[in-house]
Order: sequence, then C-alpha cells, then structure tokens
Amino acid sequence: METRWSTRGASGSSLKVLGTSRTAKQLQNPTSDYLHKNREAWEAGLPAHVGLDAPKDIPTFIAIGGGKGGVGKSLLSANVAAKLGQAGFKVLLVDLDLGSANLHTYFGLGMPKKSLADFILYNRSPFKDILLPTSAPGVLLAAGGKDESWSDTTDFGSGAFVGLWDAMLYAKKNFNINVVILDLGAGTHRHTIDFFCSAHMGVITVLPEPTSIENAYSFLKATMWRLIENAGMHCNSCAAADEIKDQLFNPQKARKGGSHMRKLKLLHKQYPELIDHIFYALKGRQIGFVVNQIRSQRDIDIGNSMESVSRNYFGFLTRSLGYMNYDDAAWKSLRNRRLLVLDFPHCILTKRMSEVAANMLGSLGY
Amino acid sequence: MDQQEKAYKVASTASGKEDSPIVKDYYEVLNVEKDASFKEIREAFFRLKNTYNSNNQALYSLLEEDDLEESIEDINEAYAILSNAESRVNYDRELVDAKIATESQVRHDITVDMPTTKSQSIGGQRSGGTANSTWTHEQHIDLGFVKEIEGAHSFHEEVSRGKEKRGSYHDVNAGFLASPRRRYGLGNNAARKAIAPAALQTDIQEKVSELIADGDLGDGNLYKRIRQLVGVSKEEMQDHIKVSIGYIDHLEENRFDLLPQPVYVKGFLKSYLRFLGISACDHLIKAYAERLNDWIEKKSS
Ligand SMILES: Nc1ncnc2c1ncn2[C@@H]1O[C@H](COP(=O)(O)OP(=O)(O)O)[C@@H](O)[C@H]1O
Ligand SMILES: [Mg+2]
Repeated sequence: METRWSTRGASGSSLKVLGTSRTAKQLQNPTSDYLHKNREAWEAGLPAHVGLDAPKDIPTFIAIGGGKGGVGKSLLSANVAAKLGQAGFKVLLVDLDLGSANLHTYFGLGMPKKSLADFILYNRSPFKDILLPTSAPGVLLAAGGKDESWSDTTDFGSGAFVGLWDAMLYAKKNFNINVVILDLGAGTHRHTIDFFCSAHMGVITVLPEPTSIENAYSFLKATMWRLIENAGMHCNSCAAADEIKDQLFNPQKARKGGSHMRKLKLLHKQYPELIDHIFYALKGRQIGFVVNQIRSQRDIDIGNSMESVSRNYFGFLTRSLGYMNYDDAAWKSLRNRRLLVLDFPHCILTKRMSEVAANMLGSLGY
Repeated sequence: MDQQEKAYKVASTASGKEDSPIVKDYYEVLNVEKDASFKEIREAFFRLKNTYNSNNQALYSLLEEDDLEESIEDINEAYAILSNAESRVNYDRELVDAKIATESQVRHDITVDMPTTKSQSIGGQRSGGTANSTWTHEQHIDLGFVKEIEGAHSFHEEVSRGKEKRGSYHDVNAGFLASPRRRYGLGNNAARKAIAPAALQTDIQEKVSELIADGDLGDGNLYKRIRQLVGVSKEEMQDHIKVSIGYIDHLEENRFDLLPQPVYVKGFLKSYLRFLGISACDHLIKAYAERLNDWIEKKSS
C-alpha cells in the first residue's frame, strides 16, 4: 500500500492545506501501513461489542476525550476534522457527548432533524440518513440529537452501541470514510471509556492547571482499567484480569507505590499470557495530548511532560500533539455561525489546529 | 490470533531462571535507542530530569513522592551507567544475556513501532512549534542486537582507544546483588558526579553555545568554563575519557609545555568536548591545536 499524492484539479491549481504557508498537495485514497500492520494489536484491546466481524478495510478512529466539560474537546474535534477534510480525507465526525451534544453548533447548524438518537434509540433512520454534509469540505457530521432523548438511557448497556460500531466500521466500505472522529463527553462514563479504548488514537485535551491534569490522569487510569478487562475477555481469563485490576487499582489490595507499568511487569511471572496480551493491546493504540489555553512555554511543555510521564507510568504509546492558544476568533466564529478554520483561516488558533492535525497524521503513519 | 505472534515481550521481563533478578532496561528508562550516542543519552537525561521534578505541574496527582523519588533514582542510575563507556559495555552484555534467556522462552517478539517518518503531507510545523518531542520508538530486541553491540558503539570505540583497563566482566559482576553502579563497574564517585545539580538546567546547551560564540577558542580556560557550566568535575572527566586529571589541568590552564604531542592533545580534546555534549567540535579543536603549534614553533625558534 502506498500513499499517493497529487494536486487536485486538472489546472494544477494548488490548494492550501493544513497550513497557510505551504502550498500543499491533496491526498487521494490515503492509507497507513502502520495501522494496517497493527490491526491485531488494536483489536486485542477492543471491548466485546466492537468489531466482532469488522471488514478488512476500516476507517481510522480518533477519539477526543478526557477531562471536564469546556476544555475544548468539541472545538478541537470540529476544526481538526475540517483540516483533515482539506487535506483530502473523508471525515466522519460523530458527536458522542450524548445528552449535551453541541458539535453541530461549531458548524453553524441548528440541531439537525436526523441524529444518532434516531439511529440508535428510535431505530427509525438508516445510518446513511444521519450523515449530514457540513460547510467543511470532506466532513460529514453525525449529530448527537436532542439532549432529552438520552435522559433515561445513561445506564443502558454497551449493546446499544453494537449497531453504531458496525456502521462506523463499515463506513470506509460503504461511504469511503477514511477517518472517524469521535467527540466524547466529559467524565469517565463507561461508554465514554469504551469509545476511547476503541480508537486507534485517543486524544486528551488538558488545560494547564492541576484540576485538569488530574482529570486527564483519572481518565487514563480508567482507560487502563478497561483495557485490562478487555484483554481478560480476549484471553478467556477474566478472573486473572480482575486480580490484576485489584493489584493496580484497589487501594486495599494494591501494593503501594510504583507505576502501573512496573506492577504489570512484576505480575508477568504470575500471568504471563494475559500480561503479554495487555502489553500487546497497549501497543495497538496511541494516546495524544493537546494543551489548550496556553499562556507560556511552561504550559506548552506540559504536553511534552505528560507524554513521557504517561508513557513510563502506563506503558501507552504517547504523543504530544501540540497546543492551542486562547483566541478571540473562537467565539467570533461561533457568533458568525461559521467554523473557526473556515471563518478565520489565518488566525493563530487555525494554525494550531493544522499542527495538531498534521501531528495526528504523522503519528498514525499517514 | 496466533499465540506466538501475540506474545509481546517486555524489555525487562525476568530471564529464564526462576529467581534470577530482573535486569532493568536503562535504555527504556531514558527512552533512547540501544545504540544511542552519548549526546543523545545526555539529552534524554536532561529532558527527563526536567520532567521528573516536583515543580512540574504535569506530574500532579499521578506520582506520589516515593514514586517520584524512585523515578529520579532510576533516571540517575541509568545515566550514570550508560554515560560511562566502560560500565555501558558491561551493562550491555548483561542485558544481551538476559534477552537471550528470554528469547529462548518467547520465540516471537512482536514489535509495534510507532511510525517515525514525519508526515510530509501537511503544512505547518510538526510538533507544535517549540514542542521538542521525545518521539522515539520501541527498540526491537532480537539477536541482531547482539551484533550491534559486538560491533561496539562509536562512543565506546572513541573512548576505549585511550588507556584501557577494563577489568574482567565477571570480577566486576561478581556480586550480582551489589548496587547496579558497582555491578557495571562504575565507581560511586563518578556516578554521583554525573548528576551534579549544576547539570540539571535545561538551558545549558544554550549557554554553552553562547560561551563558544563569544569565547577565544584557542584558550583552555574556555573549555574549563564549559565543563564547569555543564557540571562535570575533573574526576568525572578523568573517569570518562581516561585521561589523567593532570593532563586535564594542563589543557585547561594552557600549560603547553606539559602537554603531550599535539596529535594526542587533539584526540583528547575531542573526547573531552564530546563528553560535554558538543559534537560539532572540529573548529574548536583546530583553534586549540593552532595555539599549541604556535607555541611549539616559537619555542623551537
Ligand atoms: N483556545 C480557545 N480559545 C478561545 N476559546 C476557546 C478555546 N478553547 C475552547 N474555547 C471555548 O470554550 C468553550 C468550550 O469549548 P468546547 O470545545 O465546547 O468544550 P468541550 O467540548 O470540551 O466541553 C467554547 O465556547 C469554545 O469556543
Ligand atoms: Mg463538547
């Protein structure tokens, strides 16, 4: 498989893609050998309801999560999606902040008539009907739907998402979607962590302040917990997985101190096959960090530090993807009912979005 | 899925014997390749020292004080051992032995490298502006690695060309339970010096560059100042480059009459500068050698 490059249009007119300074080329049929090679490692960490019989050719999943509300997850999702769209990717943006869905607002849309609620809850729309074109070329949106729709469904089982996963996994085959971006809600709800674990790359947005950093790590711990559980299920050794989880998370049973990585290595003697599988699953996904609202170089460095600290602590493949400045253009574009990167293509925040998008692609082997 | 394929081996899993101690993978601790140059090791060390420090917000809530101390200890230990050519060779051998032992247990060893190629598709810098990424990929360890080590790293060659008194590995390693530093043949003194507090500032590289830009390159005193700035003592320098403190003094104080032949001085200055993390050092060496030759010419005439 090879990535081909070409400029769009017979005239050879160049598009400015993902950056303002460079005349860029557009990807056609972008593929990643890296993801292809790591398919099995990625599958090793999936929850039971994901990818049971996924096709060979699937889109790349990027989940944006971590932290509380208002840290910039949706802003990032929408604008990175647009940047990838400009680069020639076919992007599906899925608003999974069910109950406080607002991704459509970033595109200047009102609550769309058809949404995930119609597909998942009411079973009255086929998947293709809820894929809405947006102002950003190449980007389709699956909106979350009215918040009330989800109000008494907070504790439903993962089974509810089987159909959604099937549809998303087949989105490459059916709709030629290359990348699916999952915009997750705040907190560490089970479904949120499931989506995060299931992505090829999970992106955590943090603000440079202790509360937000603490949230990010809780989120990673929850991710680790779930990956161990998933690995246990894959290896048919759920009891051993429970034991390992206890050793890592249960304050009564866990040995004090030491990183998860170290504890896992120590447990290798006891559960060689399962621990190997956990490591394998860890290597099948990436965790990226984006620091929002930076004020200084020190704030920017937080992303780099989190990259190396969480790699050592959890054993995740981590990557600092960049940062975002505070920019008035963000609210101005919302007020103009236009997407930031389209409304202010030259503002500093747009530039940051390009960098993040570029780093994501690089990390994922595109 | 093929079980063998699934077996992902951890770098530091215990070797075959039931109760053999785990060989810590110091390369993993510093997050560098097995064939990392000294400069890379030093840079990784500074970066990690900067990260694992109690003032760093990014550690908030994740690491307890004990964990933090332990991480710092690991980092120091790794640096102490890998930055000394002799102890590194000893350590590498032990690591290879441990790998071979595990290798026979786990036949297939899947590496899942992250892509290292930088994406070219996209305008804008990679890695947001100043973000100096610690992007490295997992080192695949297979038997090919043994060859690599047997082929010796350039840094090793460079240094061990000097006076060599590499004790028998087994002597050094006799007490397996002794401290790693001793185990790999590294005096405690050198180890402690290797992590002198002055060396912990990140902007050192910058200051060094400034010194070089403004300094008189033919003056030994400049090199002394760089050495002090980087936080390396004469003793540590002696341990690393295998040149006696006396010669280090003579070089730094421009006592040309007491220095050996220029050709030796050049080699010695090169190791000296490399150890301080200055790899583009040819013009410095040239300047010093010129000064030395001038002096010799003047003396003979
Ligand atoms: N870097 C930034 N500069 C300016 N405004 C921002 C920035 N990041 C986020 N915002 C604003 O903060 C609000 C919350 O962001 P949002 O992405 O919706 O958060 P989340 O999805 O994490 O809950 C939005 O109004 C958004 O425009
Ligand atoms: Mg949101």
